[in-house]
Amino acid sequence: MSLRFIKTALLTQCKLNLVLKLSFLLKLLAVVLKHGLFLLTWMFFFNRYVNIVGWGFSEMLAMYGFFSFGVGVVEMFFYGLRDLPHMVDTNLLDNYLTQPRSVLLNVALAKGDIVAFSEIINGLLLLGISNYLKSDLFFLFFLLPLSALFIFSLHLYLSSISFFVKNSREFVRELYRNATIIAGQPNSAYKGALKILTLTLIPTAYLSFFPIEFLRTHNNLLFLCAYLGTFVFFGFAWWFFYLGLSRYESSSVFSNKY
Amino acid sequence: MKKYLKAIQSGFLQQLNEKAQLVGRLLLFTVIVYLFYQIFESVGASEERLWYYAMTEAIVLSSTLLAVQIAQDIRSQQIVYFLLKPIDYPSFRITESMGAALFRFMVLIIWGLGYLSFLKGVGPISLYTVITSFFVGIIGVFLYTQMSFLIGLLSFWIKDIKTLQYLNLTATFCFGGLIIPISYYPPLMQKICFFTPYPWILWWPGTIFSGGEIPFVSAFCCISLWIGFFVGLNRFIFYRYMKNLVMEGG
Repeated sequence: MSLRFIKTALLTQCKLNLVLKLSFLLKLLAVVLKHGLFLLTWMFFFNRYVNIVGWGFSEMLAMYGFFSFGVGVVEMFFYGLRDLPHMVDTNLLDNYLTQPRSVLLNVALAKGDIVAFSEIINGLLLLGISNYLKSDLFFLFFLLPLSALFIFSLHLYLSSISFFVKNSREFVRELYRNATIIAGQPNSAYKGALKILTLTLIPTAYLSFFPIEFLRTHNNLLFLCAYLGTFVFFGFAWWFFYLGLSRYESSSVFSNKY
Repeated sequence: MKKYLKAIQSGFLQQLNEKAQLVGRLLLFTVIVYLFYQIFESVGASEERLWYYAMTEAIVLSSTLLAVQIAQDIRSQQIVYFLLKPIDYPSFRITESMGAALFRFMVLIIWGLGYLSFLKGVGPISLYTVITSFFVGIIGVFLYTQMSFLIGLLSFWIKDIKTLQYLNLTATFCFGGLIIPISYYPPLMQKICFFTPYPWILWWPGTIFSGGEIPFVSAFCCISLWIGFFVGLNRFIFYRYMKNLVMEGG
């Protein structure tokens, strides 16, 4: 029953997104250009400085590809999570509370962006260019779903803050931006306070450090760290969401809508 | 003229009231600069690189969401109310945005100077360098604001300008030399960069701030030409659209 619900929700999202074909194609082109320009800058950096604590341009590409794949999956299917702070602030969450499906699943599937498919392709392309897709395909089969789970958890964790802090839309967006900036740079250079931050409060190390370091060194402990860290983070984000939901006060918006 | 000075003042003072945003922006600046401090340190880059990066990042973080504001005005048809007032809409929005950007840039530069001195010592700069790069940075922000206004105007025809905004930002990173100066790029890429307006937004102020030298007069002429081009283009598009605007309702 739940699978049928997910399938219907996803199909509706795809149809909605493909209504404006030209706009869709333009967005697709812009996404490709955006990533291309960003990586070009890093290529020039690595041309000059060669490697950052063992990471070369290949690792940077793999990290960005891994990150991009996760962002693509979540934005394509579960983009509703991003609107959670807005729903909480404006009491629009009421509409989901009365439905027989899981609130979390319902909110997450409420919106999707088909353009994010280009992020998935971009991710795979970058992993291909980095050579890791060819040499470590077996491991990537296990690691790629992990990146999507991490980005899902990150959205869930940050958006749930809105249950505790009023009018926090901008704040949550700023936090997400911070987290993606930290995750999107060569993580091998991080040390001291920044390293602790990426292992605890904004745990981007489980997305951008452990998996790439595992691909580079094939140290199984790093693989375990990536998996354990991401699942613990997901568990925490899940718990944090339901803790917040228990504090949520309805304003009976659903009676106005229906 | 007086009303546009008031608009600058209004944008400037508005930032004082948005304390949470200011703290958020300072925190973001601190984290990103620290992050690059570690990256530059790990590759043994020269001290100037961090000063360069702090300036370019301060410019990027000072820019306002003017394009979004313009798009909102157009979509909500709020723009019509401005036509009834004795004020020029493009000038008003741009000066208001510049007021906000001026405040942010000033705070970020003061904070950045203290922060970098804490991380790396006094560094390669003098008071003259700080003042010159601040002035040049503001001109860069003005050029970026004109470009943002143009993107906002495109919402007359394009439904969603978000992608264009991101594209413009990434182009600024790449062609403007956000992380490393353009002089580190391969020769062909340098030529491509200088065919765009982006180096004058980031590379010029960043280089001056990190103690480098660029012939002032020729650089000033280049940025003035770009500003002139965008001001002209914005006015042309805006007034052409206004001629064709048909509104209904009371």
